Amino acid sequence: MKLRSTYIGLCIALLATAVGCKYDIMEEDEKTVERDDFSNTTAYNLQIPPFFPPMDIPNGNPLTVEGVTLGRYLFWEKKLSLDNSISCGSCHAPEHNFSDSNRFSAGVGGTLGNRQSMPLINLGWAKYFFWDGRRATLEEQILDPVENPIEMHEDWDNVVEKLAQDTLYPPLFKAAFGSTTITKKRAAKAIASFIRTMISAGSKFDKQRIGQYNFTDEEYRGFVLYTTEGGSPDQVPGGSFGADCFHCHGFGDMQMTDGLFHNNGLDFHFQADPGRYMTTLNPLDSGKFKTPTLRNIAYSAPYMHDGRFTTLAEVIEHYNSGGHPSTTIDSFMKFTSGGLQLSATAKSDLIAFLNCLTDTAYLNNPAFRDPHE
Amino acid sequence: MGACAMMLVLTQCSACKEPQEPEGNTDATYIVHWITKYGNDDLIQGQTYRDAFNRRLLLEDLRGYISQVALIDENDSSIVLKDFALMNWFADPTISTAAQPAKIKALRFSLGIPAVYNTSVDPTTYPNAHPLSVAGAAGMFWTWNTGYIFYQLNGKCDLSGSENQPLIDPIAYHCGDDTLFRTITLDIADVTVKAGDAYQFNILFDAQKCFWNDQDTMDLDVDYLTHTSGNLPLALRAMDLYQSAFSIP
Repeated sequence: MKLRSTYIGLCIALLATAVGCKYDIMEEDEKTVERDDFSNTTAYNLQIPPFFPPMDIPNGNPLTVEGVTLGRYLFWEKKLSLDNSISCGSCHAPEHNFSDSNRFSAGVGGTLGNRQSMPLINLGWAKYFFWDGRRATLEEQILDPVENPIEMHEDWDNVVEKLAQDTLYPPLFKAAFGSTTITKKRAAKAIASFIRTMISAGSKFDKQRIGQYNFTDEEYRGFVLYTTEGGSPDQVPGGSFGADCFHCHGFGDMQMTDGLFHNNGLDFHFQADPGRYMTTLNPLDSGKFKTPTLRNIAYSAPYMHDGRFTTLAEVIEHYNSGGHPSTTIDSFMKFTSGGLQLSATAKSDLIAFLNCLTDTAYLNNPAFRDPHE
Repeated sequence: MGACAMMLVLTQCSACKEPQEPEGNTDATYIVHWITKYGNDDLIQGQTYRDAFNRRLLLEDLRGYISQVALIDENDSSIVLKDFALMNWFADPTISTAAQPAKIKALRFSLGIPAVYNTSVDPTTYPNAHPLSVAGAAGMFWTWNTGYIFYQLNGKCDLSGSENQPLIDPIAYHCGDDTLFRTITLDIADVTVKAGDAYQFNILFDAQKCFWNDQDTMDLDVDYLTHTSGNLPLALRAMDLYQSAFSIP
């Protein structure tokens, strides 16, 4: 009898250990501590485009068809906002490269922020989120806008309550996580999964890389400018009258961004928005902002963290001027040597190349559109 | 049946635990630590120092790839500690590994990435945590054709001679080309490291020597910017100076 009870006990221990390897335990601060059960889900077949790096998927949030489906509904769900007026997609519109054509997005009640909505594109490869990089994962990032008073201005507890009362969601959560229990972390996981599937790799640049497109002469000249050191050789050591884009908007991983933080000389002072400094409190980070991707840049206007430029021509003119000096300005800016000094033809060529980063199939992909419509 | 269940449970438990050290460890632990200085001062990001002309300068970013970090034993055999590492010289850099006991007579490492890896391997084929992946390179990879930045120093200086103006004049040495790959061998008095011992070897990195040494002096009025291409002569000088910054303390 004693042996039998020991055996049963050991079986229970074995099962508990096995379950620990199969399930993701929710954080303790959740009202309901419950395990995610992915055992009945279908693995999402994520296609990594040529010359892209592998995408790291968090252990606790495997990419599943059910999770992505739920995430898509939640991304477009206006119940995430206080007055049920705004969804994620309200400020990240497909036709604007999943960004906002307004300089500052209007939150609940029309409240305006002070930063441009960032485009959502290939974020599965990003390391930092928001212009100041204050969140390290998509799952963390997604929690913020809901409770930000200048955005959705809602409380996650209320969101959970509203979703629980909507007949649509409990079954979707059950399919994705094994139970109808709705939590903010599950919601964030699902939206993160959806965003990881938002991959753009159909631009002329991508096609050229795999031998399916040849640049026009103008586009090629623009590409050469993109990858050439800037400035006059008389004033800048090594200057070659290039546009110097590649240093920060590198394409080694095809993302057209280094994912790091730079001060590109927009201002002399940064009291209005210290950028990365707000996260690190390192004075060397004052005025630095995350380098945005240039993919679909033609559809991302307005430009810069505060949307101060409305056209690509204005952006290029800023770099052409060299920018405003400051204690943290990036060494790539030619503020001491007269700027890039690009000719009118060079500027036109550069824009021709930047237009090669357009991927309209991505913008029009029905899989990313509002499923509620 | 009970014994079977017990074995299963033990198997599950051991899979969840850290690997156990075998009793009677036959390996030694080798640690290489870089002591980082600017002349006599500690090397600190954002600190203001002086160049050879007594002008103020500030270091914002000081990183470099090292590769093939190895200890050389009495038989001239190499004990490899690390194939590649991206070193942030502001961040108390240390490398360690366990290997067989040996009598060590030298330390050897290279500055940069060997040619066979520099431009011939697509960086996207590495896992993202690898130092040679684009993500792992954290801005130290240029493009497919130009490869990695071996050594990067970013900073600001003051060319006006003022003692109270903000530092805004740029310094940027971005050096990376197969011709800039260097190997450093530092001889040490023989050290016998026994099984079970942990021994730390110290290397001095003096960032002041990135600006001047007995052979060369950077004049930041003119020698302030190289991205290698377009200004290879300055990149070569910067790399020579960087190489001279490493010594046995």
